[in-house]
Amino acid sequence: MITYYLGDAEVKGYARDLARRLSAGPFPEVWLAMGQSGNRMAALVAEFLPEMCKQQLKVVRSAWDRTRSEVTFLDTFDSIDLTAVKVLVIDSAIHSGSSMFAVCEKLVTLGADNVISYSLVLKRNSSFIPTFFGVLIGDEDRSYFQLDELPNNRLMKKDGFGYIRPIIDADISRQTIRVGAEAVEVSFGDLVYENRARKSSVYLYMNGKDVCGYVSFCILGGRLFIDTVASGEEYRGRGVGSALVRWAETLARSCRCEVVELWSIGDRVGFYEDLGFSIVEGKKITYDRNTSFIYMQRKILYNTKEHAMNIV
Amino acid sequence: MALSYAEFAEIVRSDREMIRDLKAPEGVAECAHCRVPLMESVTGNRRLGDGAHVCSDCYFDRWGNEIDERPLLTPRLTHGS
Repeated sequence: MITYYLGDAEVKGYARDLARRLSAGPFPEVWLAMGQSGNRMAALVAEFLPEMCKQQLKVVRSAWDRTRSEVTFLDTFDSIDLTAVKVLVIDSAIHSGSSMFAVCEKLVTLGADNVISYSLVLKRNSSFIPTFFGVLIGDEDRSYFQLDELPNNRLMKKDGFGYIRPIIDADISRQTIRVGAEAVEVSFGDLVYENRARKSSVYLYMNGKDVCGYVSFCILGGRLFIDTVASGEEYRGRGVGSALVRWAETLARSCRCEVVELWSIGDRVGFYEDLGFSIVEGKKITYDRNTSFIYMQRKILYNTKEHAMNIV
Repeated sequence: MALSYAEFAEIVRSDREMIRDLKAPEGVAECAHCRVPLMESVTGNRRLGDGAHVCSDCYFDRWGNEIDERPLLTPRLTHGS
């Protein structure tokens, strides 16, 4: 995973180039800006237009309605004959390409037959390649630009404490910690064994000398499998489990994993479905009449595709 | 109605200010839990089963609360001696 930071100078460079290209030929008088970041990019490009083009410009803003999975226009095309003008659809980043494709399709149904498009950033496996773009990046990469704040990676939302570290052999002598309502007995010997013999990654959440929780996971063949994760009873409600799964998923993304997998207790399948996991058919373990485990998985990046190019 | 360049530039400026103040401008969804404006590259944006969208902080908080109550442990077959 690579994080691309495009400073204001670089973004302005791309904007200036696009403005020059747009104003050199038949100028697209109507711009369709996609979302907040599309608005910012459009405004920046427009700054570099010759005054005559600025005067001609008409902008319609759009937003992606995630609930209905469709594009909505925040402004109307009243008095614009879309059959007679060139339209520019502009966004700052194309991920899966589905929203820009939907916007272009919608414009065509409204009568537009000369639509061009731009995005500053384009992801490699996008299903839509715009007429112009700035930077091509991998699906698992991130890009930051035009932001007032850059989000730090974090273990917790706020009120953080302690740190996470890999387990070491000396941890074998630690006393087992009490975890969860239905006590799960995992000794530190078990965890060291997982780490040494089964090549699992095992991390402990530490607060001073205390172990507050632990996670054991494997990253294999593009999959993150969470084997064990628990937080100590004394640290309940302080975000230890949250930090541990977040760390595992962050590592997995940096290793270009596509899915996260786990065994859910049978009666908690609904909870994990709510978190976006789905049941993997045919993988179920029944212990007794009351206890079963169901194998579940979730995509790490929502926009990765089955047909994604396998580039290493 | 479509916006002129000047109108558009002004909206972009004021939207940016709103987001800086953690308010959601028109067209921007809020986290269903903490109400932060969802800007995918900054806050994350995760869809829950009921269709609600939450920021990644709230998503992992929710998962962490579950782990507090019900730790995950892969079932293993144990063999007697």
